[in-house]
Amino acid sequence: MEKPLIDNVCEEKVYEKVYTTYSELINNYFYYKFGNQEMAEESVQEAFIKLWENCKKVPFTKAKSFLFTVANNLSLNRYKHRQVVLKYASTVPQRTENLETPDYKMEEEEFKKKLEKAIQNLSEKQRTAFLLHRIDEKSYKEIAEILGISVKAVEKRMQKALESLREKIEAFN
Amino acid sequence: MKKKYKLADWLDNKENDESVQHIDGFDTFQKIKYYSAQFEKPDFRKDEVFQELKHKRGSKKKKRFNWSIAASILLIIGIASVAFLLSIKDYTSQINTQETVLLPDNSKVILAENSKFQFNNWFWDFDRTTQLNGQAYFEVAKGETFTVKTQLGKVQVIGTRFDVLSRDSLLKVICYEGSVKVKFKQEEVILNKGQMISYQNGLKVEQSNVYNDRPEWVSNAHQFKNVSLSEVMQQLEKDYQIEVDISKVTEDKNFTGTLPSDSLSLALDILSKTYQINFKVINENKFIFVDDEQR
Repeated sequence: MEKPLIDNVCEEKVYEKVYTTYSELINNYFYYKFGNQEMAEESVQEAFIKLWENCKKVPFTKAKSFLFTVANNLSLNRYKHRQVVLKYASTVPQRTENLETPDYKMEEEEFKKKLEKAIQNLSEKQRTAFLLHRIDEKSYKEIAEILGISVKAVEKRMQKALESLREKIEAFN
Repeated sequence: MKKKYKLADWLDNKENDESVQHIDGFDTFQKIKYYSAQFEKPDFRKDEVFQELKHKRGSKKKKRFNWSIAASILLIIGIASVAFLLSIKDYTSQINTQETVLLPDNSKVILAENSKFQFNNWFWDFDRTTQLNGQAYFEVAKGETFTVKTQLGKVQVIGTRFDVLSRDSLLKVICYEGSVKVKFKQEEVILNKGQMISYQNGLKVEQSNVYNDRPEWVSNAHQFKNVSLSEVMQQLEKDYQIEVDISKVTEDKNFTGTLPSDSLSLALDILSKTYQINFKVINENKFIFVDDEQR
């Protein structure tokens, strides 16, 4: 029989596993929120240091919610909020069969730029929820957990984000 | 019925395109959905951040750990030093006065004029250490090592009578009874009864014998100036721990003169001759004075 996983975050192996599982998500969450990578990494460290300090009180199953609670309560006033800069993946399957005309290409590039700019101009709340879904492929349920709000509220935020993005993109024309 | 957050559901692939394509701007929504899925994740230095984290975490934890211990140690030291400071007894004799200090074990210290003497009251049972700056005569009760620290050297005894003088660059120790150990710099000298040693400017100046029983400066006499007989008797009772009855004495002149405080028979003799009265010994500790019948 396999040895049961020791439910103790103070255990270096368990702690590392928690880090492997959630560090990137926390990092990205903070990046979407404030657009500052340095700050995002600092937040990850702060959250995990708090977890280590409380490792006796936090069982493995509660580690995730503990981390996000701590992360949401961090006050990192010393960092400047910046604009969220995003990169498009260079190799993506093309949209439809063979629409790669130069015109189409140009139009696509233009739209991509508009989309990025629109995302930058979203409210912090809408942008965070939207990008967690689009980039990190988190379900609404998970996003609700991370943000500490209800699933219904996430749905509303996503809806508003979409509407707001469309508005901004169309206004750029 | 139109669902409230239909676009959100569609974005999450819970609704197909058909159910939302009638909504204004569907084309744009579709592009948003399509292109927003192409963003790359932010660059996260996962491993480096973990290494930094471990480093910070380690030092942080260590620091916290140390702080609590440091705090308790500091507290203990604080309490101990407050207790220590509170229990230090300080005596300073003024010019032209002598002061007698009784230590917790009934050792007696007579401070010469202009001297400073210190000992720790609470810790006395553990450590019979005293500090002296000036001159003092000690009559030490038997017990653990008794130490007199001076700026120039250290004197250690077990139970004995001795005199220590430590002023400026002069250290002089005289032993009147028992033996004392004098530590001066690296040197240790044992003095026996009737021996003295002195150092000046860091050098031994003298080692010789003394023949008196007490230092000359220790006054062993009480001076009275125009004091009533009853007051003189009160002082006598104090000095020798005796009871004196003078109710039968008719003489009431005041007394001026000196009475020894180390010889009861002499003191009684002086008084009886001065006042022309007789004394009767009731017992070892009780005396009655009566008028001289021959007068």
